[in-house]
Amino acid sequence: MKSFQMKALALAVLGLAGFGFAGSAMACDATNLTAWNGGAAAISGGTVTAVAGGLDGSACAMSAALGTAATSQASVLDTSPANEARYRFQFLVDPSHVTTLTAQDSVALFSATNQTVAHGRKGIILVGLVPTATAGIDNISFSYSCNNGTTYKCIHTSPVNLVAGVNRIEFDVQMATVGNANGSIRYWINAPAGATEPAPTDSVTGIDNSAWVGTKLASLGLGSPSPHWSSAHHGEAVLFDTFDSRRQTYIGH
Amino acid sequence: MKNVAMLLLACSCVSAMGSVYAAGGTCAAPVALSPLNASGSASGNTCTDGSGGGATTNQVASYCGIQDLSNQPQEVYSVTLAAAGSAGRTATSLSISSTTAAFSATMYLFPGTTAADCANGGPPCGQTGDKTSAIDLTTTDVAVATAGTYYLVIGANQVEAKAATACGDYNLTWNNALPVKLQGFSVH
Repeated sequence: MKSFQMKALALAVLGLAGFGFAGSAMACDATNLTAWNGGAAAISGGTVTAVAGGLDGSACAMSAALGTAATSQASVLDTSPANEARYRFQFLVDPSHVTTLTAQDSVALFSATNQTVAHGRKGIILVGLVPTATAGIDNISFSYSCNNGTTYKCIHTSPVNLVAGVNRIEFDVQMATVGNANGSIRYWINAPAGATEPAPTDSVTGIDNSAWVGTKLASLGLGSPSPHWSSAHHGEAVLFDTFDSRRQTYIGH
Repeated sequence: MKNVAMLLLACSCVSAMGSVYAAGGTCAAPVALSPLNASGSASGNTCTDGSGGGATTNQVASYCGIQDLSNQPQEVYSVTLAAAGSAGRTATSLSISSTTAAFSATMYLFPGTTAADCANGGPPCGQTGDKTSAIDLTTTDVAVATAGTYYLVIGANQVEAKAATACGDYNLTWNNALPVKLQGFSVH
């Protein structure tokens, strides 16, 4: 049985590996991604590599870049979640190596999906990188499955922008109980250090999402590029690090 | 000395004015721009084309899975395209302009056949264009290369989407690259 801390995967593990190799040169290569039991999905020109310089001070980070195809994907997969009715996740992301986003740019950073299709959708939440009105300052938005009776997809944009460089993003996704609109999504952008859960940056409540049961597959990396991202930002790397996911307690740092 | 004389004639006769279409509709009742082979234009105003002369309603809340277009007024066209590179697709670009300076008039072109496809807003994400960048209809990008029906949604961009000024007038234009046939050629 899994404990409260479901897992601390991949790039956090990379950091531990780096610590383990203290005193010798740390190799950042594909072996660093093997902690992801679903492996890497480098599709249609997408690339996923481990590079030197972890975002949390560790030895390595994950570098993801997409090709020019609309179907391009560059991510790592975790298949261990067991239809989690509550799923917390956290990761570090650094998009500063991407050239300035325009209003037509967007790309997915993380997704959690259900095991089966409901109302034509499997996705529970899709977190993406989007531009703001200020050049060089990015933000996140996320779409999520919801029973709105039409598209079964709702969308929300964070009122708080990302900062330049490394950002720590944490989400707490709770599925609704059957027949009720009591699901919620809470999230923290660059929360202060500490293990005690602070007030979230923002939240969405009253979600009827029980039809999607719970998280079965998590994907960290790039995907679902907008057409302009494919044409203007192909080959540009976004760095990720220190992924962690849990069922119940705040992750923090 | 060479004296080259060439006479190029269009092999088809298309009105220089092209077809003119009215303002767009909704996902449930889009205005058809069909077959988009002759040059033409369409115009509207998302601030005033709605019920009672007010703003139109939001049709596509999210585009490409992530772009938040919720709340912004939009208008919808349907477009039938022949396969890219085929004789049936003679239009090469789709452009939009607007005299509303604060309105980031944006085109979202994506495949779909039902009102639900339209409202879903992709993926597949197709192509986008705005006042400074036309949609290239000659692209081999699979998202708009395939023959079929597409939705063309007119609205603001995701950055402006929730602002009070996220509406305005627009004018869509598309060209018609006439097939050209060499009628005469001589070298003296």
